[in-house]
Amino acid sequence: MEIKKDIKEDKILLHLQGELNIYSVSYLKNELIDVLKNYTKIAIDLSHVDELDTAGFQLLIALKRSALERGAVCKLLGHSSKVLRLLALYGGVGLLGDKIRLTNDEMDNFSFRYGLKKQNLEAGKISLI
Amino acid sequence: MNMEAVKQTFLVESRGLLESMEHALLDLEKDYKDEENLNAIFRAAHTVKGSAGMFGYSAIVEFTHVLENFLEKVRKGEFELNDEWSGVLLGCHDHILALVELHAENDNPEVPAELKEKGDALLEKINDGIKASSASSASENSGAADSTNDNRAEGSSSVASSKEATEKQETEEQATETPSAKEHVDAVKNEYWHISLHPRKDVFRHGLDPLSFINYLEEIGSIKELVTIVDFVPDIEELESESSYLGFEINFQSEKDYETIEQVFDFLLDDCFLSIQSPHASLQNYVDMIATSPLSRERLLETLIGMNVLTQEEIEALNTIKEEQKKEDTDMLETDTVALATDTVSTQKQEQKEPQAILKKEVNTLEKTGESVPVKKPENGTDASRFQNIVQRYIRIDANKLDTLINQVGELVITSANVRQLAEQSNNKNLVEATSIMNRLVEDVRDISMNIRMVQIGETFRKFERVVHDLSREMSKKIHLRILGGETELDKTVVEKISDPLIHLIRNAADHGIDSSEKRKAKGKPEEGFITLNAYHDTGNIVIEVSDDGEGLNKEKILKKAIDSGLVEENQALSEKEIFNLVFKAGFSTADKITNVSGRGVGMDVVMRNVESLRGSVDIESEEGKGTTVRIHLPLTLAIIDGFLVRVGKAAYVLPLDMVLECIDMSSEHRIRREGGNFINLRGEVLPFLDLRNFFKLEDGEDVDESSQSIIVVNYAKQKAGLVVDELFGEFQTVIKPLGKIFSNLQGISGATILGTGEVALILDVPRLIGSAVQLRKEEQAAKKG
Repeated sequence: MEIKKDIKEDKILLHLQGELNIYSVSYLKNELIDVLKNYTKIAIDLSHVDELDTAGFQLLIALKRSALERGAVCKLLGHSSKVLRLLALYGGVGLLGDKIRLTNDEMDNFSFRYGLKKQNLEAGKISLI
Repeated sequence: MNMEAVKQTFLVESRGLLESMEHALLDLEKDYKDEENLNAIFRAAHTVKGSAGMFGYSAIVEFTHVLENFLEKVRKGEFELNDEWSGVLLGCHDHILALVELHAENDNPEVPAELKEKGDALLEKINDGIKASSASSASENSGAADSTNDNRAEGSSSVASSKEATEKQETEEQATETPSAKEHVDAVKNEYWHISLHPRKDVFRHGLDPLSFINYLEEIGSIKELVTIVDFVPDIEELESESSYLGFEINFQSEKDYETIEQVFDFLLDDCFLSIQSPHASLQNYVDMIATSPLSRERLLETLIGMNVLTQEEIEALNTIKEEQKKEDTDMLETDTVALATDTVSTQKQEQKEPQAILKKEVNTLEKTGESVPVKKPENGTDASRFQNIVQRYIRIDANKLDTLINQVGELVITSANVRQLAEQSNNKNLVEATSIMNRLVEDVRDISMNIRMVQIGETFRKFERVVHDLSREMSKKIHLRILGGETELDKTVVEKISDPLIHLIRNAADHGIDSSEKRKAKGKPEEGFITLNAYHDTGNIVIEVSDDGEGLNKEKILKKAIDSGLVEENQALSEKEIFNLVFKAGFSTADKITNVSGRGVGMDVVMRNVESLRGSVDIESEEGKGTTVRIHLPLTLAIIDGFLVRVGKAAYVLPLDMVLECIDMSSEHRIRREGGNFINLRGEVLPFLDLRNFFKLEDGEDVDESSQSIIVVNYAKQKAGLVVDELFGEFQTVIKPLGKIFSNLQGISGATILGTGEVALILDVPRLIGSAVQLRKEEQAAKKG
């Protein structure tokens, strides 16, 4: 996993490249902890994530939750098809709450039958909004 | 997921289930009404049928289905078993096993005509039994018999019909299980399966990702809704990124049966809380699930409503059940009156409950919601469920992988001995210290990897219960098998190879050893004969005894037979032991008549050969009229031993350290006391000895420094002897390398090993050497007398 950072004042854009899975979560987590300490506007580009597993998904959930609790804004962008596949299966779209742009191909490939309603991720307050 | 792998799991599990079925059948003969055993038999048949159905093995399903119907009758007390029926059921067991093995080779095998005939005969008998019981209980349950016929007629649709039967049964069982909650067994409206999956924290560390299992679900059905439970995901700073905090509630549409869906999670079972509810399951099932889920009651109910799994009315009904349930549990504990309906469903629940209990403790973020987990009576944990729990603690490994590991460890041991030697020559203190630590670690690795191959012999022993059972039927003698020391561990290869010789010995004991009941009575012995299998450790060896309380060996008869067949000279003087050992000679049998079981004179020599190929030995103890004990001594392991390195002449030799008792100087005193004979006086005891230099006829022309010679006192199978060597080197890790075929007739050498220097050292065959030393001493005595 490679991380490229674009920084403008209090904003940071992270480009993740490679596998976001059990092998890379530990490294990424430490990076994200640093990012959360120093920035309040965070965007993460997932367009080059070519693998996402349960551990990776869990890290994204933890990131979203932690950002909420610190009053930071954290957005995920450019979901790659591997990311979308897992979000569709896990009903993760509403949990993470980001806008997702789908190409026509992706619309055909993934059903997104469930899990689309936005949810409040804050610990102890999980519920449908 | 690879179907071949799943099939292997099916085969291994079916074999395991059939084995426990066999044990239960044998145990059942002691009491034909024993519910635990009846249930275990039923469960085995039921589960094998279910998993066979998943693979579409219709031959197995058809047969087991009829058997299951019959067992159901028996379980309900509508049909009583007896010795004859026990035989039929054992036959059924054999038939199912044969069918399973048939499918192991080929997914769509042709059932051989012979096997088919056997199966049909058994089916006919069982159907008779079902009819007989139906007749006795009139119209009641005629449905089950009908479905049997349907099933046989349709054949190909048997999988579907067996599923129906399972479901029907589940609801029936549900009703019997909680009679007082009957008014609440209303099925829920949800037309889909509901799967609640909460992996444990360390599931990732075990190399498993729930994702692959959930993905696989999509192949056997369709996920209608999945809610990922993220309640337990902590703040990123507290997150252990390699622990799992997620849970999954899944609404799932599938035509498959319970077993098939559960099987998807087979590899995850140890690492998760799993609860599966069938479509329109009873509310009671949901009560149990909610009570045991790691998720709090409120959150779970909220999620279930959100997913349309439960309706608002159903939730209200749930709350009333909860109240009753509490009361009931206390009732159950106090009065013990509730009939034990231990069945497939309740054991499945039972099995789920145990991991849950552990999980509950682990998830400490979980708030206790106040209600108690329904307490099941401990009796519900039958042998079979306990057995399955044990099985889950183990992993299955290809034996070849283990062999490769052992081989590599062997090489490692040799190399590290080499490194150590080089380090010592280098005089580099730090290097010596580091290598000695490494050596210790290598020794540990060696011990651990050898230990992996160790298995308890009890499993093998239990297989013989059936052998003894069948023999006692066949010969109409009353014989029981008693097993002692089943927990003794020895190398897997040894266990496999010792099984055949043991069967020979047991057959012999049953046929020749134990008399018919009448004769036993006449002699004032109890009518029932006992064959005892005993295993225990003895000086680095394992000893396996097969003993019977029969008539014992007849010395005169053996001797006469031996003289008749020219094995022994007429006036040869033989000790008792030597006479008994004659029975191990090829072609020797004292049985007056040849039976099916034994008496053909092959057998004992085969036993001897098999045991010797394992570097073991056999001896016999017998007392006329009281019984016979055959004792097999075996080395614990075949690959690596602790050795004792010595030098004779220029060559190095290794003795197994376990057999070395002590080392003493070959003092001039001993030399004087030799009195020309091959024995010394060791603290008042006569110790025969062997001068290895003479024995191996070493003629290296070197002058022997007699003052530095030592005697090593070795011990094997209660016999001692001394071996004279030139120099002692001490302990040595020995990796046994077999000698080539040309050396197979070599006396006194059992193998070879490679020293740190790369030289070859021969491993001494201590049992043979002791034998030779004792023999030499006898010849001397005989010569003196003569």
